[in-house]
Amino acid sequence: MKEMMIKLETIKDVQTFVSVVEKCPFSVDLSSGRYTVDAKSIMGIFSLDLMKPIKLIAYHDDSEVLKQFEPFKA
Amino acid sequence: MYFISQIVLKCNAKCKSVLYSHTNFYGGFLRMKKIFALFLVLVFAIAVFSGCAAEKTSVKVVVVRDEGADDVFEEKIYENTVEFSGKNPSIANILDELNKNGDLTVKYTTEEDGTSSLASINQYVNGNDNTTVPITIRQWNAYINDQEVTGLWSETSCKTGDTLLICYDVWESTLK
Repeated sequence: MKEMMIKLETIKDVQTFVSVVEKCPFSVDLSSGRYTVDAKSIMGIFSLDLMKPIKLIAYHDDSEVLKQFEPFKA
Repeated sequence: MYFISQIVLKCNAKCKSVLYSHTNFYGGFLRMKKIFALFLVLVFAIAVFSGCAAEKTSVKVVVVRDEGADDVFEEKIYENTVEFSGKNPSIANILDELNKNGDLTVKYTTEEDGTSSLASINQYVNGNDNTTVPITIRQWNAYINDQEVTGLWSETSCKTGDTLLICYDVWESTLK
């Protein structure tokens, strides 16, 4: 399991992020405060408080998988 | 002379009996062959019938428009239980079939990377009203048995008995 903090500042960011995540063959979650949602769910992401950085949790052991999320790093 | 004629008669009788028994055997063989052929035809017909029956998937398809977060659908665009040919068709296959049948008008757009994505269903277009915050987001989403589909529609399949909800979600976002 690998984690990093990301920030989705615009609607375009959310849509691009989802298009990247949905191609991942492993699970990815986003966590903000007490809430955790499936990062492949656009509706789930919009239910989070996107004004603050959010935690990305990738259920994969290789740190290389986080590279694709670098453009969204907080 | 009498003796010879007796031998000829006996030979004739024997030949007839051999011939008769061969004819009997041959006739039986033909009958068996016919029965076997009929059996094969029957087995083939059953296989084809069951094969065709297995290659159909019945899915309840509901297409709606949902504005806001009030759990009330503003418009029911399409609702029907449809039988699709093929086993476990993908959501994309289902939409293509409904488009082909004229039940829905589905349009796709080609992205920069060459992949195609849903542009619109009927008059409802995927996209945002890029004016001022809050921006209105208009997005087609799919749900199978009330579970949001988070994968690609071309790779997410439905099985018999599933309810596929395709929802035009319209909501406001405070993001830019």
